[in-house]
Amino acid sequence: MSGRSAKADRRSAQQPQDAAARGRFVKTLLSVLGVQVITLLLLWLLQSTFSY
Amino acid sequence: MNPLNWVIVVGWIAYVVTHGIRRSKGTTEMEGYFLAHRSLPWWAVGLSVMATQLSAVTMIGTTGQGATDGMRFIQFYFGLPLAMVILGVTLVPLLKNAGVYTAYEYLERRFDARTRSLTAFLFLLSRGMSCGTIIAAPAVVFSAIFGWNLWWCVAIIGVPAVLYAMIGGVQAVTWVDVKQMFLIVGALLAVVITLLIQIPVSPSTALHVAGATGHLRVFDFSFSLTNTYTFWSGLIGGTFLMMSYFGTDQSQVQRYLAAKSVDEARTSLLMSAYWKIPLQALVLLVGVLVFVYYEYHKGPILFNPAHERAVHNAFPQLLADLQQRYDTASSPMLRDALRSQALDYARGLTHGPANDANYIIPRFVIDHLPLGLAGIFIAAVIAAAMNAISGELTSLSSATVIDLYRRWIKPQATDAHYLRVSRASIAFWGVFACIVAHYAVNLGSLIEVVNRFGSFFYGSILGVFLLAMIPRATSLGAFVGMITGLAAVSVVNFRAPRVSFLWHNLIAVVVVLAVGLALSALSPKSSPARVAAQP
Repeated sequence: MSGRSAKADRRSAQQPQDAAARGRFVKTLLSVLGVQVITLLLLWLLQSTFSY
Repeated sequence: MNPLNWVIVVGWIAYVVTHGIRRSKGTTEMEGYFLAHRSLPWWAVGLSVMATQLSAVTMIGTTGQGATDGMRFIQFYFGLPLAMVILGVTLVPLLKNAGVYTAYEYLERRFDARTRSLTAFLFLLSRGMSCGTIIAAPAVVFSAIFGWNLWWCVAIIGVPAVLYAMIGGVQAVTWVDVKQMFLIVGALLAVVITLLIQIPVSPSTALHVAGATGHLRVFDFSFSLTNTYTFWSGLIGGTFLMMSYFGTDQSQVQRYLAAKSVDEARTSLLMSAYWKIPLQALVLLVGVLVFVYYEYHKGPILFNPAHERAVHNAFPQLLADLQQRYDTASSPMLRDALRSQALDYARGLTHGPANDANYIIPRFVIDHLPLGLAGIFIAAVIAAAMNAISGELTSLSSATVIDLYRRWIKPQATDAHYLRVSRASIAFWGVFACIVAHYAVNLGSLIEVVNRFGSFFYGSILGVFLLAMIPRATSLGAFVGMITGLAAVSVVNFRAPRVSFLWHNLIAVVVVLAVGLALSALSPKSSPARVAAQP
């Protein structure tokens, strides 16, 4: 019984950690995509401004 | 080169070797040696992942490509961020949660021993050869520029990397990579600033000059199976190439297996996704600015000193005339034509490859960078080579020991025994790479052959890992699918050699998945061996 409750405690402690990790990953993911879009726009600007 | 520059180069090599050996604490067991006790922070893993793939070829070859061909090479990397995102939600959690030492170990758990052994063998074959070419590329340039014996150049680059990788394992390699990445990026930024100061026009005018000659043309939206550098080749073919490389190549997988958690492992990969394209843009910009520099300053018509010596010895007057016409040529097109003419003479006399793009940046660094900065740049080139070599050596050793030696030769032995074998294995692969480097240089085109050779395997191995994620895929489907994928790429390579190697990966993945799933549907579900229960 005590083993089962310890397992349940660990699981409930793990859940917020997983949620936090997922949140951090999604945040990083969105910023990665943002940086890529900005980089591509800057490269496009470089090409369109100076190439003729 | 000024002695102060050599002091910087020697000092840096001594520093990183010492630092690597000092960082080897806790590497007395296999888990510490190959996985740093799965304790590394995400930012160190991320920098190490970037460092392993930023070799000396990037520092001298890609910058040279920027000088001759402009920025369009960057399209090659457009699939990388997408690949990292896909891997972050698929293969990274799968491999990290499996608690394995190597990516191939997982395949035995999911399929069978033959699939594991074949993928490990293909990895050892292609990485062992490519490790040699990574040493060969800067060694041949240093040999020509400084007039040193080639074996010495190979040793200067290879021996320090073998030393700290052998003593300190993944932990030493990762922390040395972190230090070296700062040197490399710092050196590139310093060269860009120096160029902007030395070019006698404003940065805006310099960029207009580069743009007018097509050097700032980044995007090519045409769809072509034969052109590697287009937006679509980079985005579609590149995504599969990068997924194969970062998701299944032990030299990359080993890095994120050493991270503290799944979250830190995928964050470390996303770090590469953040910085790869901006970093490559910086590398190519160095080359573009060197091109602009030579529009305003006299430069050699032949950048490879070996070519220069050969043509000078055979036709001194002809070379002098070409150089004089080159110096006074009024247009970049005329200069290109004169250079092509000189390169043709060089090719005829040396019987080697005539392309001297790899020598443009080293010549510029030696001839025009201020005191100290040339030493920093040369140290950064050696650092880049050492990063790539040491990362590959530790991964070659882990695949040799875990997937072959412990699996097939000596399954029951102490940790201390496996550790000794692992160190010996790094030394073996180091010597093998140095020998390959020496012959790669002599054979000239072997570097290209090895690159194409590697592209034979990547897609098929990725296909097997993707099959592993599909529950109904069987071991027979995976094994036969992989063999068929390899055969399909061979047929495409030999029957349609103009198809860019970027598409080979996509072709192989499609073939492996199609054949693997079809056979799985026909064959009974196998019960895979459990490697967790055995070494």
